[in-house]
Amino acid sequence: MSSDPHSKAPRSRLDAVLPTNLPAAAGPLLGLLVLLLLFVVILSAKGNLLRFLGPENLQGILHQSTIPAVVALGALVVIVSGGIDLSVGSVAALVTVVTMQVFRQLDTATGSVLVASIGAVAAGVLTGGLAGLVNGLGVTMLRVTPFVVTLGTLSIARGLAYYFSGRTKVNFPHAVPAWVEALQIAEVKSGVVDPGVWSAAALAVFVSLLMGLTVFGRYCYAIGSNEATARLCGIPVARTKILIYTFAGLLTGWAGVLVFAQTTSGDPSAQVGLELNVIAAVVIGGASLSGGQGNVVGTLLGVLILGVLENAVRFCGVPIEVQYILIGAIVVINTAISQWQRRRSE
Amino acid sequence: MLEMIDVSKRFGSTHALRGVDLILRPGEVHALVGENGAGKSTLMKILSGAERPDGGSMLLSSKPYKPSGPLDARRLGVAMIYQELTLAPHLSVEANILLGQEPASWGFRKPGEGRRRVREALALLGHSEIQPDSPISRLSPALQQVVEIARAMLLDVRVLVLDEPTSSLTHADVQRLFALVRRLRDRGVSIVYISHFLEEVKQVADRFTVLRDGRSAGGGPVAESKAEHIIEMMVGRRLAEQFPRVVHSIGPPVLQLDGLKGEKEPRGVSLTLRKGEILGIAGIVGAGRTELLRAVFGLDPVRSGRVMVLTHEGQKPGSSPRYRIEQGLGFLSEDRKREGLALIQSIADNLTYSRLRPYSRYGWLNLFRRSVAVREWLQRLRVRCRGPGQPVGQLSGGNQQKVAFGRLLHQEADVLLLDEPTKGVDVGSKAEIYQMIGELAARGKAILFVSSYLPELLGVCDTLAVMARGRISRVRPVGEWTAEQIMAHATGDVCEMPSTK
Repeated sequence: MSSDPHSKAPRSRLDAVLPTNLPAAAGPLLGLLVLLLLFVVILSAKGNLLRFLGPENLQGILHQSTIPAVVALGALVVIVSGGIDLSVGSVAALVTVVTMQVFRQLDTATGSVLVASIGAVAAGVLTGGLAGLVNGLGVTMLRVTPFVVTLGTLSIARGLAYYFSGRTKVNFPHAVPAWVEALQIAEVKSGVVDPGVWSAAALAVFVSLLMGLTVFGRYCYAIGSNEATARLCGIPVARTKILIYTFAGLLTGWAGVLVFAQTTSGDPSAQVGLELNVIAAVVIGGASLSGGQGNVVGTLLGVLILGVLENAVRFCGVPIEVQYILIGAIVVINTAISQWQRRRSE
Repeated sequence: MLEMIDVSKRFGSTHALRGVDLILRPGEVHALVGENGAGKSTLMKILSGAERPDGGSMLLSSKPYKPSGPLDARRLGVAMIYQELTLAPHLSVEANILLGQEPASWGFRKPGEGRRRVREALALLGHSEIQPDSPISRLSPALQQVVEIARAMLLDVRVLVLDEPTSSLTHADVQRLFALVRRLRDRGVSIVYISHFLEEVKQVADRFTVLRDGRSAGGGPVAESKAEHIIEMMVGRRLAEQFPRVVHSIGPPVLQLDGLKGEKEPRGVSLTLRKGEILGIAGIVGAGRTELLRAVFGLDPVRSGRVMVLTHEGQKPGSSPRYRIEQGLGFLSEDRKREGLALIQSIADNLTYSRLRPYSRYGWLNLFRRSVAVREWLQRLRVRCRGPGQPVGQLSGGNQQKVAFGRLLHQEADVLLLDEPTKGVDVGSKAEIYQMIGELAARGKAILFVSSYLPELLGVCDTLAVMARGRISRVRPVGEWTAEQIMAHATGDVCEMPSTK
């Protein structure tokens, strides 16, 4: 340990901006590479390596990972602040139903697909935001732990989804609009990946900047690592928490719209168990459930690890039950390794 | 009975102990004295098996003594009573005493046997009046302590360590505790008695050992040593050098408390703090000093009374820490780990959390500018670290405290509420913190200084008041107080003085 912090001034702007514990995402990156290597070996032995690494399949993996990725970005912010959001799967289902019902109403009222689409998407995203706001108010005003509050909204949102859908899947009244089709299909002729993936990428950049370069981001980390300190420093803890859950809700809202587009329906039974996948991805990505740690790159790698695993395992012809077991094992092993790393570096 | 020879222990890069000798004879009360951070608690943790030494040897009854943990140490006959008691408040006296050592055969408890042994242990301590069935929470702190000692007595204890046992006891209870200690000594138990109070050492101990900076600095029979001599060994230099005095003058009032009442404590505190004044608040643990500072800062609810910051125009009702910071107040928590710092975050973050405004624009941070500013602060505060990005939890206690302290300076607080600012800090950093406090006063800051360590209050403050049971004495210049008067006030032996209006 050098004793004098002043001997070397920051060499460049980059030096000051980059986090000092840069290899935070190194663990999950390594995990992803090992996993890919493993399947490359297995699949080349089986003779369908080219199909696995082909652009169509890679596009497919990204397409599949879009929804968990968008939700995970919100979950990351929540988890960094020391909270948890269990309601995302149900809220996404509620969003699909609301989006479809608003589309149908506006479609009959105005007859314009454009107006109906814009109104429907806005309603969907705002529904997610509203659910997040309710979570945030529950956590701060009622002073119930996030686990319990979002467990409650998990059930409430699912109930509302069934209520608004009339207990059944709701479909488009007539032809599927063009933008929905564009989001639905993984294989694209131009633009490398489908627009849904692009939207997730843009959001990832935004959240990354938000967490790294804004006052809000600092407050999230502060509250997550020690709420008492945050209060002591005059950080508006309650207001920040409400913002955090609302923001996460808006992201879930957008993810819900993507579900709506990918399935072309308002489905009250959609996305059961999404929350567990997403939390697993964030944790694999190096975030700590006790708060204060985590970053966007790690989280995206976590989502990709799960996506690749699911896809490749199917390629190998492994049955679904083994998939579940593998995913569970990887979550635990990966977390154990990253914690061991952390202890060693201290 | 017990010999600890040349025991050493390191934590990371800091030497907590650098070769300590402690020799305990059978049936003696041995006082272990030293300043905060001298290594007393580390030594006792090693003795009681909670930590392992890096070097040195230990013998118990002439046999090598290497406990694998606190439980093993207890089995070997070494028990420790911590300052903070470790009883289960909802369980009965009997259940607490038997906890982990219930007499049983084949997994079935033997209640009669248990009851007999509990009564025996209590009788042995001269406290047969404690009912085995009464819940712990109904007992006074003094009696809870007796229960804790009884728990140790159940196993055949040969060495008993008492860590600051009188810190929350009244004067009468202290005398009863001493009687108990002597009774145990006469039964051949060796007792290590840790205390800050030399009067207590004089009363109860037979011999003493002084620790300073992780070394044994002397010792001998208590009866043959003068108090000044022991203090000199503890401090290692004259008091005047330890407390650098910075010349400063006192100005107009800046903070006024008017009958401030909290949930439980404080119970009606009035006080005026002036510009450039260092006002010390003495008292025992639990007197309500921390609660007073927290109520002033808006961290604890205020039931009645007023906090007026006179430098700030326009008094909004309602007081959140955020608003108090805006008014120019700053609060240094006594508990760095749980409250004062976000340990896993960087030094830069911890230093600037309370004032990010200079580096932000529309909510976006200029991290480069902040990094440059933080480097300057680290230099000024003389923090030893790798750089602004290092997690604050990796620093030593003294450097952590400098960062926590630095936060108040960074937020440009005019009124500093300091709760035990030198707790868990090494001697060198302590002197730097005293120096900083003096310089702040010279720059016109007003300082409320809460401490349980009397010498530093007497050495650093201009004026002093004593708190006991949520109330405060009159504020008087520090020269008008004697240590005896302060202790008498703090332990409630003196009728309460009217608080200033």
